[in-house]
Amino acid sequence: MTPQLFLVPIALTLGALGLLAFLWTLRNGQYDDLDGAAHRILIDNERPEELHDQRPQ
Amino acid sequence: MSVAADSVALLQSSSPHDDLPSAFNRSIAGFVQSEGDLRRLHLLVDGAYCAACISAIEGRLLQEQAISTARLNLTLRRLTVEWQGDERRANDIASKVEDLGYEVAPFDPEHLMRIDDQTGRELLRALAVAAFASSNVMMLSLAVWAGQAEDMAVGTQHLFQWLAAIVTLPAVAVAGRPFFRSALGALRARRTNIDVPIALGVILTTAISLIELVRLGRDVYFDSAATLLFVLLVGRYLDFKVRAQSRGAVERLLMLKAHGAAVCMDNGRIEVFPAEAVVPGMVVFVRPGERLPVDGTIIDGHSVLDVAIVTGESLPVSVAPGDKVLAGSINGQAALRVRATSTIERSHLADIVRLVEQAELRKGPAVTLADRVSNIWTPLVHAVAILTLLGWWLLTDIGFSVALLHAVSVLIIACPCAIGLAVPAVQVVATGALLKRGILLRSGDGIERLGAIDHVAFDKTGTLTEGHPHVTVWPDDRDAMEIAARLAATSTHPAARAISEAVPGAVPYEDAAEHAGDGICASTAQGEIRLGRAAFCGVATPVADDRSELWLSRPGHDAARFVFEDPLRGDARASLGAFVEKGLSVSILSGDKPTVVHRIGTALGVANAQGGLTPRDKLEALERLRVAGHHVFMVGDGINDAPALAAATVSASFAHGAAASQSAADFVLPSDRLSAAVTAWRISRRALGVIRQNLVLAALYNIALVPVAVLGLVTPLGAAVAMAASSLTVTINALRAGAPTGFGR
Repeated sequence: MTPQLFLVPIALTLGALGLLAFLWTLRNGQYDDLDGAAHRILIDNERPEELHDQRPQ
Repeated sequence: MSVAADSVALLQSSSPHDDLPSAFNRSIAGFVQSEGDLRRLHLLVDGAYCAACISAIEGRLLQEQAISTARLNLTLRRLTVEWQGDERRANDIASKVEDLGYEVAPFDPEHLMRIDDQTGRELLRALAVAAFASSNVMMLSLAVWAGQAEDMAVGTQHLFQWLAAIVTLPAVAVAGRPFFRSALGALRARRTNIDVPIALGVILTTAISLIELVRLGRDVYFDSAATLLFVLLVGRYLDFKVRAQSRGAVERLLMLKAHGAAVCMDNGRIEVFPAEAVVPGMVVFVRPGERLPVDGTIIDGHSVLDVAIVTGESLPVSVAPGDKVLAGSINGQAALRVRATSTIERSHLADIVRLVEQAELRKGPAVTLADRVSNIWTPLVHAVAILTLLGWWLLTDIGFSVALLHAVSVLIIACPCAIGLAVPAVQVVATGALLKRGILLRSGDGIERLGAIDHVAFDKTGTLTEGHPHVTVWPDDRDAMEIAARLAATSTHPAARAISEAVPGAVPYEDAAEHAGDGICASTAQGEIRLGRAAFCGVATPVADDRSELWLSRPGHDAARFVFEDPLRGDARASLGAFVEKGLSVSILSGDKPTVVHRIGTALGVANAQGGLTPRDKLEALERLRVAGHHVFMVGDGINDAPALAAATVSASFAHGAAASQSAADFVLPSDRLSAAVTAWRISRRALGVIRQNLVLAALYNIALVPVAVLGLVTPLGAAVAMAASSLTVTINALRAGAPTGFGR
């Protein structure tokens, strides 16, 4: 009985943490553009500032 | 048709206004939203499909220091740009994106019919909470059931049941909200829908379980409540995703409106006005490659217009002063001055938009199979539950609370969780099967509607035919073909392209000159050679034929004749045959000349072939069929088909089709295969069959177990097993919807 006394709350807590993390990603808008997200990983920018530094063509 | 793109690339306007800046023909500052000094612009972007597009567009825009945000949503194809300062930068932004090769159209997010982002997020949130709750509560419940079979101390069992209650109650409050809201809405409108027994079942289950828990009873049903919500939400979310690409005909038609009109003022200058500000009588200046913003009459200039997607005519139309022209046509060769005869609101294009909207409204939302099942199911289940309650309470002496427990167990067992999964599971599988064959499904219940059709109506140009002309009659003289091909090599007119494609490697004449609408001429050592219309080539006697033709005139030879036709697609006959074989009736509705349409009808063996139809005529033809009780499948590709596509029971357009017709259609077929229409139909018929099987299977479990519940013999374990078994069965059966037999790939 004693192991269950702390194992079950730990299991529930871990599950709750996972749920909260998912809800945060949801609020962060990460599911609004799944196609775009899939393609963005292929973009080759080394640093995020590079977009602003590019010389006009 | 790619005439416009080639025109822009190849031809130079020879007007005195070439020095105008590229942002000239635009005035979209009215669409900019302002928040203090922050400006925001939303643009629809056409042609962005990949990572390179994202980085090209965003990178280009972010080069400007003033622009703070540029984000392209690839799923919705919307670009959102934010900057500080001048509103008129919007024109510049739009031009920059267009210079990269994409078409843009500004829109006002309030007025645009779109995917409801809020619903999607809410469903995902509810699904996540239900998933967490059901898995953890099931963990606790399994422990309790195992413990009941073994020697678990009663105190431990109660502890686990209390933990289950603590997890379930908030979960039901959050995850149950979509169902509660829908049920309340239905009840307020004095109807019931499938969500009423669901909501009732979940609430009563939770309440009874709480009561039992407090009374230290043995059976609590928290896991049933949580799992029920989970399974139902999976079905709901899948259904939402499939339906998410809602019909947005208006959205795509926005792409076609020119956004600025270059108006010639009295003092000779040209000023840009928003297209909405053009009134009849104003003179509009249209350069090659641009769309006409309003209907009008030409007062100056000879050119060739691409009207294919507006009226369905496959060959470009020569226009000269005095001709009437329509908004949305693309100017091909030379600049035109057009006197407006209507405002943009009254233009032909706006009429089509209105026709599409009317057609959609009149048709109304389809009543799906699931709706019909729930209409029978709901009152039946409630009746049985009430009878159970009354029966146990009044006819025996076990007491009200136990009778209530039995009645609630009836509701739980009868709860249609598998029904909520039955249809979406099949839709997902069928959509995937269609996508593998290059067919895009745009509206969720398209499969159900396509499976039930009994009549197919086809457009002609671009649907039954290839959409561009081929040479069918060549002159006997081989030299004539060579010379004609050399002349034709420099032109973008589809008839000329047909000739030059048939004779590859022809070297163009250096001094070939194209006369808009008439032909091409060049001078050689022997004299002047001409390729073009009969009059242009000096051919006096017109041949009495309605076919398109070009003549080649050379000094010292007779004039040589080339005849063109828009040929039937290779699989047109087989596709029609496949439908007729299964007992469906077929018809052809076209805007092209009646003689041409009748010839095609005879060639294909279709008795009902009508030509010369305007978009409104096509709409009325479909209305007549609908009123006569037919379920019509319409296949078309042009703007002039859009109202008919919206009005038909179910419709399909092509990937090469006008954006407006794609938006009005339920299915989008690959451009090179008309047989895809037959494939889509076969897959849909099979899917419809599987949907019916699934609904029966789902109901079967419930029906078989309801007597058990009425007798009070059901336990939480039994309910959970029944729910899981029915959901699994329905899901596995849905996988069969992906494999049709027969026709094509």
